[in-house]
Amino acid sequence: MQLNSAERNNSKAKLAQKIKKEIQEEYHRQASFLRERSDFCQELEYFLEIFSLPVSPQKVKKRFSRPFVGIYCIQAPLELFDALGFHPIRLCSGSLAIQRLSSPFLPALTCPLIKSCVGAFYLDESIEKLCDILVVPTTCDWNTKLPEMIQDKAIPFYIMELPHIKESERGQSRWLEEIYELKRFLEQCAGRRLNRSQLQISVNKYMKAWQAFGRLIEFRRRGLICGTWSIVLANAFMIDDVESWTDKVNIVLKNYDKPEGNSNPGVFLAGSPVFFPYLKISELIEEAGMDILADELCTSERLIASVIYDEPSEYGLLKALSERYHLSCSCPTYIDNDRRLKNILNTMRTYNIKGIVYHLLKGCHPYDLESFYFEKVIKENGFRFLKIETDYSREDRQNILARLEAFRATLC
Amino acid sequence: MITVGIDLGTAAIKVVFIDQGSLLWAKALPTLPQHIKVCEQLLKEGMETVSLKKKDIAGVAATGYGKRLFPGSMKIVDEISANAVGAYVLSKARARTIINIGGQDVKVIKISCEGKVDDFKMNDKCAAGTGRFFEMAGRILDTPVCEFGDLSFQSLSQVCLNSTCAVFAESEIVSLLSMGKSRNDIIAGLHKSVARRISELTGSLYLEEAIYLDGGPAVNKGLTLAIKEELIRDIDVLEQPQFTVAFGAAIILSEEMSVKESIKAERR
Repeated sequence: MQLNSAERNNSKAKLAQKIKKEIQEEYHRQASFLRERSDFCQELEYFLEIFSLPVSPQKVKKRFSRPFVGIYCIQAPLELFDALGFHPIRLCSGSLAIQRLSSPFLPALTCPLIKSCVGAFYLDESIEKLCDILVVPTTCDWNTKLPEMIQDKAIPFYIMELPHIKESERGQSRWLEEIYELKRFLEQCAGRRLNRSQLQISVNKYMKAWQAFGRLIEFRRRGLICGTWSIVLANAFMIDDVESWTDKVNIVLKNYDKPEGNSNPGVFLAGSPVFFPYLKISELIEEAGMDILADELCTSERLIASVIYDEPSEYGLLKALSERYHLSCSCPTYIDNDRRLKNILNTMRTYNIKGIVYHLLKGCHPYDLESFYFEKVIKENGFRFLKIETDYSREDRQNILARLEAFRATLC
Repeated sequence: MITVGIDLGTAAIKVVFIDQGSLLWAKALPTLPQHIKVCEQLLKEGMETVSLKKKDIAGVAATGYGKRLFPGSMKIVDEISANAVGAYVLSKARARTIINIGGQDVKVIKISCEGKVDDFKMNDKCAAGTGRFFEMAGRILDTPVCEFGDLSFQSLSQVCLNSTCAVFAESEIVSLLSMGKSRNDIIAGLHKSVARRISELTGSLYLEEAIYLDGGPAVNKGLTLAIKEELIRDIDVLEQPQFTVAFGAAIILSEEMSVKESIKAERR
């Protein structure tokens, strides 16, 4: 017997409620795991509270009073949104439970991150649905097709066409054009023109955040703060108000300012993004007795975009933003990305990191394709390499842990 | 010095007793929910067989997926390192590559000339081509897995199996049986498809000689032949290949204790 329309809606609402509860439990469980760690200090509670926001969107509205812009990936300059009065949120999701809402409508081998991001639009309320605009740079294929996946969700999209060759004059000038187009679009939405001095204030405001980020990384390299907490703090940056985040990171770092850190073998974490509550890979690396001294994740260290401007005119500031967010970005969707590998090798040599754990989310094609060349070059340079292909589920923890434990033995 | 290695695998629990690097006794039992009971039963049987008392055993090392479940272990060793050491010692320092087919995974381990893990590859959470796959095939074909090797040699026309997935191969085998294909031909096809899967995991060029095959399914001569043919490489099988990992754990513990004792002796 077929359900009538009212019955169907009722049953849909019930399912969404059930899954919403599961998502809340998932976030709560991960926050509890983190609180139980021996390296937890009360100052970190602020960041765990940030991760109660995705499951309580009403709290988000209260906390940040400005209109929201949801941004996918990391190429759109945050300073521009801030200067025009928007609160930028880098949309990302590490929730497994939320995938139950989107899975029936997506290919089975969809990137888990995209599956979770799309799932958020099927909830009755979510941060995604609070956004007035969604900005999508055309990075990987999944992201490029994202607007199509959620076209019926009635939130306006703004697409930024990303030049995939960045170290060319043409690529850079095209991206600068895109930044100007974005500016014009945001001015229309805000109902006012961009003010040069306001943009400079925003650039300087973010500069303080980049400096705090730099200190966080320095602490991490010295083994004073662990990889998992560093990732959690970086993840929180993607949601939080920039000034509050900067203050709180500086407070946390005071607490970890000690002469010496841990002495486990250090590894570099490369590959697909890691976002709360999905912290499986970093937690397992640490459980296997290794410290993640550095990473290049777009949800962690790659977020840093220290913008340096020579000329404080509107053009000078926008050009500096355009270069920093495009030319300096090492997203694997770029064709000319040799600098990424060189930087990783330099970091490994400088900090005596002997191996790379290459984290790959199933269906994350750019990182998957790149992993073979990466493995070859990393090994040729005398470093160890371990590729872990996984997803947001917890069922392969033992299998991954067995490999990480053996990998640790190869580093000693 | 007598040490014991326990390999708590997903398909079987293996226990070995060694004395100064030589194997004294080894036995395996299927993994049951009561892991500890099975371990204790095997330990008791081992001690009785080689006439040992508890105090004669210097220590127990645990390895395998359940390595943290056995409370009486003095050392926990990861299964990849244990496998490398075990194969290296048992092959008299010849082994440079090990292909291990376990209950739920396939590992290819490269061993350095000092007997340490140099590099390794392992399947992720898919159980295709592992011991579980053979168990499933044995059930569908109503044939004990231990007979697979001999039966595959009687195959007249090996069938081609498209899947090594433990789920999809089941329906493929049922359909082959209904098409009148012989059991022996299907078994030969199974060996071929597992060999192909291993080859895809690493590529033949990754493997450095001497190459050894171990793990429970390595006792299957038909499978060994199929892997040799698929990789076009010489592959040896260690005696009692299912005990290599437990043996390696016992060796690692024994070496560690010897080092500690010699340090103590020097201090005296």
